[in-house]
Amino acid sequence: MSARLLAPHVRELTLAAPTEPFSYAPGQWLSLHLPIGERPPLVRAYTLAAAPQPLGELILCLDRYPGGLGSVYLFDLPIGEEIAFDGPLGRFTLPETTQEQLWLARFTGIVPFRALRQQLEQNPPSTPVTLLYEAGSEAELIYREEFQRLAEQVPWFRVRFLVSDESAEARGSPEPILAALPDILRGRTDVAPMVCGTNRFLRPIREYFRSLGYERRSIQYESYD
Amino acid sequence: MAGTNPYIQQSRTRLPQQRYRVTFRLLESGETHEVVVEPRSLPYQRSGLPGSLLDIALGNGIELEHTCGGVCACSTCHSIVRQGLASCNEATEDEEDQLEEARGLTIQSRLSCQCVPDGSMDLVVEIPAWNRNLVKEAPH
Repeated sequence: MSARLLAPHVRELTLAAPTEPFSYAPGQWLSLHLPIGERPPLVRAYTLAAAPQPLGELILCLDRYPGGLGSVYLFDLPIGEEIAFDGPLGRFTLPETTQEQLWLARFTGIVPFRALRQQLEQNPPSTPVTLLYEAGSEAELIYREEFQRLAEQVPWFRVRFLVSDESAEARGSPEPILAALPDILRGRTDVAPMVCGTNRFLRPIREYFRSLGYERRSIQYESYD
Repeated sequence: MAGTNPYIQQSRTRLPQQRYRVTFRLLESGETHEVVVEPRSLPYQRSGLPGSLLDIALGNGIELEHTCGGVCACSTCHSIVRQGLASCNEATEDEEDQLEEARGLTIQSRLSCQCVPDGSMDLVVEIPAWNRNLVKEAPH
């Protein structure tokens, strides 16, 4: 296992390939069984932060939340420790659609989109993908350079970054994204939305799309709270 | 998911004000566990909504599957509330979406992590035998 800091409180873990054959689709998550808590294991879900790797490593990304048992444990986990997990799980994977995709993420909600982006880099789509990515500070726009670089290199990918500079109490608000959406959509109702973040972020955005006439199930989402 | 929940949404649930009883029937093992829920003991704050069936079960040493950690992102904590369902919060659309993936769905089905009784009734809750297997069969 190796690790790197993406932001002061965001750690990326690269786990050595599992001992048994393992495959997954970008956007899926693992169920980690952590040897902590009053009655171990403590079960916590973490999304894989990269498409399948050539040597089978598994890459996770986590935000250290004070008092959060799982995140604090993983943030401080020494190199060399083993992690038990189940999976892969989840359906936040690339849609089978020819519609233009609109990806909406806040802070660590970018994690599954990183894996999906890598998948599309290997097999470019025929229709555009636009990412709208917001965080409370420049430092929290993790993986920003990767997305920026791709947008400069290929015609099918566009990105807009938002730094909301919110107070701590307001963090997690969907307002910056909601405020930017009309300019992104320009009246269109034919994009395929994918949204990832906390429920506080997700739900108003889903409601926004439903107010535009989108069917509930046509809005792909992944929450982590 | 990134595994943290720093911005926990205000729950639309009502925690109990009085003692009540939950009987968990684990159909896989055939075990039955009776738990007396004391309002002052809630929440156990391990997984699931505070005061949820999952919270109560785990807090009393009853291991229910909860692959996503109790954040309404899978259906492995599927339970069937045979008695006392009227005392529980209503299922959200998100919960119903996840429940559709559960096997053996009934009109009394809930996700244990999202189902919070208000304590006005005793409950009888069945935990289906196949919850664990469904995880392995998730498409990928």
